[in-house]
Parts: sequence; C-alpha cells; structure tokens
Amino acid sequence: MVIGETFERLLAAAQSGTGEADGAFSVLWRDANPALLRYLRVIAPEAADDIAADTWVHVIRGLAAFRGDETAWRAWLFTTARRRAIDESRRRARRPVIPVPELPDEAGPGAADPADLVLDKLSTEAAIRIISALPRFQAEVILLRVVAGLDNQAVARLVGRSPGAVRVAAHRGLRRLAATLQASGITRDSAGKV
Amino acid sequence: MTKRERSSRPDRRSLEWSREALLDVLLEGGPWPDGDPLPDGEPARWQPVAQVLTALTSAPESRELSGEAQALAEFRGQPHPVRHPGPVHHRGQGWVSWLRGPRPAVAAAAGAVLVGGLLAVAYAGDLPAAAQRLAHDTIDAPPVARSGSAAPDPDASQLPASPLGTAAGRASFPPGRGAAHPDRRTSRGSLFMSPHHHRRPGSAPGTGGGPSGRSGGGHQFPSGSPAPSGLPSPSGLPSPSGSPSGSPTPGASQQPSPSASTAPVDGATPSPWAAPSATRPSGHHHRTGASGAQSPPP
Repeated sequence: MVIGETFERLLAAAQSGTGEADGAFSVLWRDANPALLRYLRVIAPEAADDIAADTWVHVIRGLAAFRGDETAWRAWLFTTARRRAIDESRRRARRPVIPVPELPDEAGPGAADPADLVLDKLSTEAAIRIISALPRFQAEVILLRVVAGLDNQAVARLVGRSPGAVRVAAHRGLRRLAATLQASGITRDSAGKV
Repeated sequence: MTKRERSSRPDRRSLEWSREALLDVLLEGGPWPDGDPLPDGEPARWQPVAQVLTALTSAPESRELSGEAQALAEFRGQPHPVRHPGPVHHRGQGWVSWLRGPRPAVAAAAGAVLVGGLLAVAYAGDLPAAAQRLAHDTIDAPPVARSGSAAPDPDASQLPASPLGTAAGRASFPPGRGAAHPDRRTSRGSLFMSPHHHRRPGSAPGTGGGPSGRSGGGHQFPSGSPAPSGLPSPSGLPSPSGSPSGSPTPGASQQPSPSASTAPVDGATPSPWAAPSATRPSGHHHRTGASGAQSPPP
C-alpha cells in the first residue's frame, strides 16, 4: 500500500474534478481499499464491508479539504475507518445481534486453526484469522503498522496512546503470534521447510 | 552471580536489542539487508511470523476490489471542482457584511417612513377598526368610528340627557363618515367636556354660544356670534344645541358646528392657535375644524 512519488499528482487530479479525476481516484481507492478491508475485518469483522463503504463516503466528501502527503492520507483514511468501527460497535452494543446457529463456524476470521494453514501458501484470509486471535489492541497495532504502513508515531496518534505503548503492544503481539504458531507446530526449520 | 555470568550480560542485552530490532523490521515489512529475514543465531520461530505479516500485505483479492464502482459513483456524485473551492460563506460573516453596507441605513429610513405613515393614518382615524382600536388603546389615537350610523339615530332621544348625546349634536356634523363623530365626541366629551357644557344648559337650543347663522347646511360654518364668553369651546366641540330632551328636529340637525366659536368675531381677538389647541383633545374634531372652522369668515 504505497503509491510513492505519484501520490501527490494523483491526489491533485482527484481533487481537480477534471477528466482525470475518476482515474486518479480509482488508483487511490484500489491502493487503499484492500488494506482498509483487512484492517476492518480484524477490528470489526461483522460489518467490515459496510464500514469501509461508509469510510469512503466520508473521505470523498472531505477530499477537497484534504492537504497532506501519502502518510497523512493513510492516517486520515484509517482514522476515519477506526472511528466508524467504534461507532458501529457501540451501535451493536445497544442493539445486540443474536447469532444464528445455522451459520458455518468459519464465518468468523478467528475460527481457523493455525495448524491448518500452510505457510508457503498462506492466504490473506488465513493471516487475518491468525492475527484476529491476538488481543484486540495488539492486533490493531500490528495491522496499522504492517497493513496501513504507518510508523510508530502515527499509530500512537491514531489510537491515542504513547509511541512507547504502541511499540510494546506490537512487540508483544508478535511474540504472542510466534508462540501461537510454534505451539501449533507451524515452524520453519533451519532449512526453511515448514 | 559468578564472574562468568556477569560477563555474559552484554550479550543478553545485545540479543534482546537485536530481537527488538528484528520485531521492528518485521513490522516495517522490510527484509534484512542481506535478504535473509532472520539474523544469524535468531530462532527460526520468527519465520512464520514474517510469513503471516507478508500475507497481510499481499496482492489484493478480487472481492476486495468489488466495491470500486460504488465508490466511484459516490465520487462522481460529489460537486466539482473541489480543487479551488469557492468562497466560504459563514453565517456570522454574512450578517457582519450586511451591517457594514448601506443597507442598514436604507432599512432604517424605510422603517421610519413606514412607522410615520402608520402613525399618521392612525391619528387620522383611517385605520381598520381593529387596528384603530389598538391604536386608540396604545397611542391615544382617535377611537374607532362606528359604521352604519350615517343617519342620526332616532333612538338617540332614549339616551341619557348628556348634552353631547343629542341628535342635534350629532347632526352638526356632516353625514356620511362624519355622522359617527358624535359618538366619539360623546365618549370623550363625557370626560373632557362635561364641566363646560354644564355651564351652558340654560342656553336656548341652537343659540347658547352657538352661531347665529343657521343656513341649514351641515357643512356651513358659522359666521355668527361666538359663545357668550367670547372664548372658544375647550375642545372645539359643538356646544349643546337643541333641547336637553334630545328630541331631534330637522332644523336642529342643520345647525352649524359650534366649532365656529373659534372664528374671530367682533371684539374677540382671533388667535391662530385657539382652534388647534381647542380641538387637539379629540382627534377627529381637529380634522373637522381644520377643514373649515379655522378658516376666518370672509
């Protein structure tokens, strides 16, 4: 999820409203939406698609006033998504949804057994399920660092914690993830085989 | 703690530092400089973690791009151009700019003209009944003229013996809208006129302080003798004419308005302020007097 040097030109084209605006916005959307969905599928798995769409509506409405580089763009995008997710969780808390027993167990991202995963062909869906098994804050921080591509400072501002707390949470999450994978027997030997 | 263990501390710190650095590198997604994701001596358990993190940043799947058309439609629905948005108008700035322009003065002038016109109409008694009643209560404008009393009410004889309630008093005003004046005069005259009238009940009908000219025309104004005292009527109202019983007679109805008492006569010093001051307490009488009573006789 990095556009690079062309980001400024794409953003200007998307904001210009000219004939290039649609194409520029499409590039921005294609670059950011997969990461956005992966993040939301961890922190709000029940309504990830809806929250993502709502996030884009908000971003499109505020696109004219946005000023910043690509890092600021991503931070704005994920901050908006996070706030929408929090609102959605509060709304669901007020009106809890009764789970339907007919739904398959693998509907949730955390239902997979890491031992069933083949690391060499690890799919994104499987990786999301593994990350979802972590504590919420650790998983969120890891996703914001890895998926959103934000640095420690930006994540700290986004989640409202200190950079040190964010770094510690991310490291703890990675250690916990390593322990989980090791306990599941998914390790790689010195030869690089699973 | 043995000397050997002490000497091993820097190595532990170094190892812990390298672990922290490794985790930071994993989070940033960058490979090790030599291309090997694992540093020398680091357990192989970090490799699965790196694989998971790599899978999180893999190429997008088709379902993750399925909402592009919807987002693009939303994007196209937004007003453009957005690169150079127009001036932003705030509510507060609009009011401030409005107050700074010439419009407040124009609005104030228009308001003053409107209020002045309303006051003039109200004191002229030309407002609608409800508005005139309100003006009468609030700003002491003339009361409402009763409609439908163009002709003298024959039942006026049933009224109390108020000198102003006589038909002759009413008839001293021209027919039409002026016919309603006696009622107004009665209402206000009972408050302001009674003392003066009580001094004159003995005078003969149509003569007590009244003009001698009885040509009969309601619009004719007296050129005859003034009131015995030579003073104008306090309010310019007609002095009681006709019999106290109030029996109206056609001739009595033709008696001129006693407001002519303000007209200069022999031995009386005409004062241009006499009539207005005398007619001021009742609004409509002022109009009536101004229309003719103040004009000196030829």
